[in-house]
Parts: sequence; structure tokens; C-alpha cells
Amino acid sequence: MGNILASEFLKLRRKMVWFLVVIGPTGVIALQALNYGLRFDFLMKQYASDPWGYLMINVSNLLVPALLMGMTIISSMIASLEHQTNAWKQTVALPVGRTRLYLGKFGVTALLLLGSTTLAMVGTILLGLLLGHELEALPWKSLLIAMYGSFLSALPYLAVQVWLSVAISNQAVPLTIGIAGLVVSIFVLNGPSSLDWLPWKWPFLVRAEPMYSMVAGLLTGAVFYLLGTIHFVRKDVG
Amino acid sequence: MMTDIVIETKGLTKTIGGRNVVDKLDLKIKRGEIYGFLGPNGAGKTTTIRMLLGLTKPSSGEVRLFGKSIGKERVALLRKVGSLVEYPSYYGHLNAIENLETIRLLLPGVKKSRIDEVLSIVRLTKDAKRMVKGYSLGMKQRLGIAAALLGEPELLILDEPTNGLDPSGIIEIRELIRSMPARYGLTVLLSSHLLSEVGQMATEVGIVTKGKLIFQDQLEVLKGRSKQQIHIGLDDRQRALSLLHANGFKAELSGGSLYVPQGDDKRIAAIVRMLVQQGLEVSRVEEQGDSLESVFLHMTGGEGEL
Amino acid sequence: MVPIIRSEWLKLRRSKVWLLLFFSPLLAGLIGATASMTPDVDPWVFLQATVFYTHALLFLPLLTGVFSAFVCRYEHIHGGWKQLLAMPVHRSGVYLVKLLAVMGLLAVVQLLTVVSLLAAGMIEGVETPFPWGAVLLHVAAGWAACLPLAALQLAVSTAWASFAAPLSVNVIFTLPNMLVANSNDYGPFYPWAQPVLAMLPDRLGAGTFLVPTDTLLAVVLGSFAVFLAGGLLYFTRRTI
Repeated sequence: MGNILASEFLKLRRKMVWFLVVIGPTGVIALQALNYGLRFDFLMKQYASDPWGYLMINVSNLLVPALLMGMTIISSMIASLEHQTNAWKQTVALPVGRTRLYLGKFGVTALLLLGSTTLAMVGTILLGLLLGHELEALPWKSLLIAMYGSFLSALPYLAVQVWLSVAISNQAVPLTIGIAGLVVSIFVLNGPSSLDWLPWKWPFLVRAEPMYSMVAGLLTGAVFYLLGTIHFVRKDVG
Repeated sequence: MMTDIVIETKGLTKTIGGRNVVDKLDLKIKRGEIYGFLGPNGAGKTTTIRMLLGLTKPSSGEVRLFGKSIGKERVALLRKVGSLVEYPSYYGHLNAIENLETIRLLLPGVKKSRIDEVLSIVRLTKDAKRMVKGYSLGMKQRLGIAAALLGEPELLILDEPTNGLDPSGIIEIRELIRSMPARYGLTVLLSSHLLSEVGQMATEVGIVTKGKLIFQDQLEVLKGRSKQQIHIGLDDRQRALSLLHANGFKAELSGGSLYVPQGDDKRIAAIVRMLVQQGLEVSRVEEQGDSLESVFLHMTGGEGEL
Repeated sequence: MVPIIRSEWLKLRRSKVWLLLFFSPLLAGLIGATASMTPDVDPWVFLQATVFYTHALLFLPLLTGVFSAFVCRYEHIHGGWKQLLAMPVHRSGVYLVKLLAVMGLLAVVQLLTVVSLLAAGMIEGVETPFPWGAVLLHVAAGWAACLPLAALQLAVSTAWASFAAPLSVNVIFTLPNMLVANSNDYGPFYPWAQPVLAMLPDRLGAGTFLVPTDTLLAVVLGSFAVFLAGGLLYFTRRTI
């Protein structure tokens, strides 16, 4: 497995993917810094009761769309590495099981986004400290849930994007579907709780319903991952 | 006024990343010629062709087509040019007729019936209504040639036109190209890394390597330069080589075969006699097959793919 | 220009881009049709705000990027550019026709959004007459506000062969809309927020813009001029 991931990371050298992995969380934190900076006194007064809590809400409201978009774009870029140069046939002909190849594609995408999530978390803490919030008052559990919890609840989305990107050589399709999914999720995020079964809602729901969203995300993600694997294993490659 | 020089470049240079991919190229191609533009892969042929078509601007130097500068009168000049660069261009979601129609619309004065004509020239009529993404490489190549012919050009620029074609396709395209100047009165520039390919069609040849034009003349002149060699097939070539050298004969091992220069019969007979007397088993004594190729190989510094 | 337009139309007609036209209007209409009406606001103004906000906050700018990438995609994948630009056409003409294609597709989307608003109103049982003038004004303004975005996205899409790269740029600039569009101080100056600002009716009633008209015009036209000039300059000089 290590080798497959190493090979995938090697293919990503000098690629724009790295720029995106960093620019996503940086942009989110920068925008919130701007948001706070512009209305500092007003927001501080309004959020006085729970400064860290509100900061997390603000950050994650932007982070989740950025994360979903990152999942769409990075899956596509990683699959494109093979599509663009017709390298699938070469990769698939290597003495490596297709199950593991697929795991490699999924793994590298997930790791990159996990990296982005971690950057965003570090950024949130730094921004909080910069705004003068007390480190002792930082609710670690909520922070971890707001960050990694969002990631886990978004796994179905990631699994579908990796599947589509790998299966369809025309990357316009997965990218468009991913963008559509993002917008759907933004519009259901404030929707009634009767819509809580929609996977698109989970990454936003995770702060309120952490257990439900994360478990549902993991399970549904696993199902789509398996479906993607099965399809990839059986698919003709040419 | 009709000029006799169809393509002329003066000091044409393209620098990419500090390297002169094309280096002070002076091409001169006369009307009605089939000009073979030869060179190993990466010699700068495609970059030159891109500059001829105005797809890329030269770093210095000038391209003149029909006596006019492409930098100034690109659109008017391109109306008279048909081209196929590197690999065929196509829209996979359209069929052959629609693909050609997207081009025809951009060529003033070309009638719709011309599409059927060019399709039949490249023998794609039967598959004309199929989406091009399902075509084989050879069919796409033929579609590319059809596209190049669509505007009844006076100058046809074909970059590696037999790429991806099967042997019968190659022969077909070769016949087609050879017949063109006579049938349609046009000038053809044909690039290739295979001398054997161009050797059968071209009247005039230019050879580039590392961006520089190292030969430009009639094919006959190139043929004249080929030095004839005698290939000697025997068992212990290494020993034979030392024996020949020890006895004052010129000889060389190339590609595992032993060659001696062409000479009068007596000298060849002496060589053979000597080798046999030394106990070597001589199995073949023959004039080397296509020595044109080795001239090319020699000129391009052994980088040519033959 | 006309031959280039006809040639472009042929390529576009058979592509699958048409499927994308319906998504946003459908979703926005659905949200409008299921929204609970507020009694003290004019029903059409309320619905317009709901449907157009849904449509223009993210979808419309994102679609602008998708369409731009799309009209360049079929040139990128199988060497279309080199064939097209070796034709007797002006590069600037080719570029402007691509821009026209993107704006044309957006115009269809905008019209479908009007249909969608109308349908949402019928489902909600609104009885007052449909404010055609005001709605069409906002729809047209929203469309025009996409001009600078289309110009920028087209520049990026012609430069990069990959579909993902221009879309990344698009998303990076569009996502901040969620914050910026709500800011009275910064929204009016952010090009990506202009489509939604132009499409929303002011609380005062339909037919007035949220943002002063001269600011809207200055920002939209100013950024359009800059992006178009940059894109054209690049495209006419680039190596194919």
C-alpha cells in the first residue's frame, strides 16, 4: 500500500494540486480574518458569550463548501493524471491489483484533503489567538468535530467524486456534478430537520449532530467507495 | 503576380527556454514541389511548421508565403493553405461531415459539395456519418488530410501524414500526395522522420537536426552523396576487422555488421580471399541495401530513427 | 464573425452542455415553490428574492465558469485550436465568438429562470399580475453582470487545457460570495457578487437595484474591460 501511495504522490510533483491544498484553508481563514477585522468591535460584542464557538461556526461555514469543492477538483485532477495521457492502460497493466489501485487514488485524495483540514484547524486556532481569545477556553472537542467531523461526514461526497472522476474520462461530468452537489448542500444546510437524511447536509449538520453525521458519513462513504471499487475492477480500460 | 517561391523563411529562429529549437532556418520551396522536410524527432520540424502557419511567432526571422509575410497578412495567406499539424485535430462529438463543415464555414467560397469530394478522396464516404470519436487512428488521420484539402489549397503542409496508418493506408496516402502537384497544381511540404517515407514522394529535400538546416537540395543530390558500401557477412566479425585493418584495408563495424567501402572488383576479391584464407566463414558479400538512410543517419549525427 | 459563429454553433449544438442549462433554474424554482411566503411583502418581490438569490449567489457565477471551460474543452482535447487558428480567421474573432457562446448559454439560463419564477408563483398561488418589466430588468442586469466573469474565465480556460484548473479559479473567487455578497461595504465592489446583487430587488420594491446603479455599472464595465483586454491580448499572442 505504501508503494502505491508513494507512486501516486510522485505523480503529483509540480502539480497545481498542492497549491489548491494550501490555498483552500488559507483563503477560508483569510476571509474570516477580513470579516472579523472589518467589524471587530461589533462582532466581539455580539460573540462575547462564546467567542471560540462563533469563530468555529464562521470558519466551518466557509470551510465545508471549500472542502466539498476541493474534493471535487482534487479527485478530478488526480484521475486526470491518467486520463489526460491515456495512462490508465499502463497503470492497470502493472502487477498491482485494481482494488489497491483504486484505494491508492482514493487514499491520496483523502490524505490531501485531510492535510487541508488540518491546515484550516491550525489556522482557526491562530486566528482565534490573534483575535485575543484565551487558549485555555478553546473547546478542543468541538473544534475537532467542526474540522475532522466535517471531513468524515463529507466522505460520501468524496467517494462519489473519486468514483465519477475515475470512471468517466470527460472530467466536465464529475466536476459539474460536484459543483451541483455543493450548491445543493448550501441550500439544504438551513433546511428543516426532515431533510437530515440527505448526505449533502451532513457536513453542516455535524456540529449539531456529531455522532449521527459522522457515522452516517463513514458508512455511506464506505458503501460508495465499495461500489466505486467494484465498478473499477470490472471496467474495461482502454 | 505569381511568385515562384511558395515558402521562404529567412533566419527563422525560435527560442524556447533559452534553447534555439529552430535556429536560423532558411527554407526555400518552389511552386509545384513536393518538399520532404526531414529530421529526427525533436529536430524542430513541428515548431517550424507552427511558425509557417502563424500558430507560433518566431523569436526572430521571417516567414513568407507566396511572397508575403505571414506576420502581416496571416488571414489572407491562410486561405490558400491546408494543413495537418502533428496529429489530426477533430471534434469527437461530431461526425466527419460535421467536422468538415465547422472548417468549411471558415473558408470563404468553398461549396458544401466539396465536403463529399474530399471525403471520397480519403475514402471516408462510408463512415462519414459516424461520430469521429469512434474512428481508428488511421481514419482520424485521413479525416485530417481531408480537412487540409477542403479549401482547395495552393499549399499543403502535412506534418508526419502517415503516422498511425497501416501499410495499405500509407501506400494510399503516398499515391495521393504524389499525384497532387500534377492533378491540382499545388505545392506540398511534407515532414517526416523517415527518409524512406519521404524518399518515395519528395522531389526536394530539406534536412534539419537540432534546429539547423543541414541540407537542402533535390533528392537526386542527396542520393548522389550516398557512398556505396559492401556488407560482408561472416562468423567472427571482430577478428575480421582486425585482420582487415592489419592488412591495410578500410573497414568498419556498424550495428554488428562489417562494412568495407565500395571499390573495384580486384580489391573486393582480395579482401574475400584474405578472409577465407584466414579460416573465416564468409557467407555473404553484398552491396548495402538502402544507403540513403545511412547518409541521413550520418548527417543527423546518428539520432535519426529509421 | 458570422462564419465563426455558425461554425461554433455547429460544435455547440451537438455537445452535452444543454443538460446544464436546466439545473439551476429547476432548483431555484423548487426552492421558490416550497418557500413559506411572508404576508407583509409583495409576493412577487419575495419570490424574486428567493428564486434569484438561490440562482445567482453561486450557480450563476459557477455556471459562467463551467460554460467557459466547456466551449474551450472541445478545442483543447483533440487539437482543435491548432486547426481552428490555422484557418483564415482572426484570433480576436475566435475569442469573441467563444465569449458570445458563453453569454448566449447564460442568456438561455436566465430566461429559464424567469420561467421558473413564474412557475413558482403559480404553485404558490400568487394572484397579482407578474411584474414583467421589473423581472426582465433584473434578469438582464444579472446576465450583464456575468460579462466580466465570463471574460476572465474564458482567458483562464483558453490558457489551461485541463477542465479542473479554470474551475478551481472560478470556485476560489465565487465561494467568498457567501460572505461578500452580504456585506454592504464590500459587496458592490466584488465582481463575483455582482450577478446576485443585480438580480435582487430592493426592499422598496421591484425594479430598483440593491446597489446604486452607477456603482454597479462602473464595477461591471470596469472589470469587464480589464479582463477582456487581458484575455484578448493573451490569446492573440499565445503559442498554439
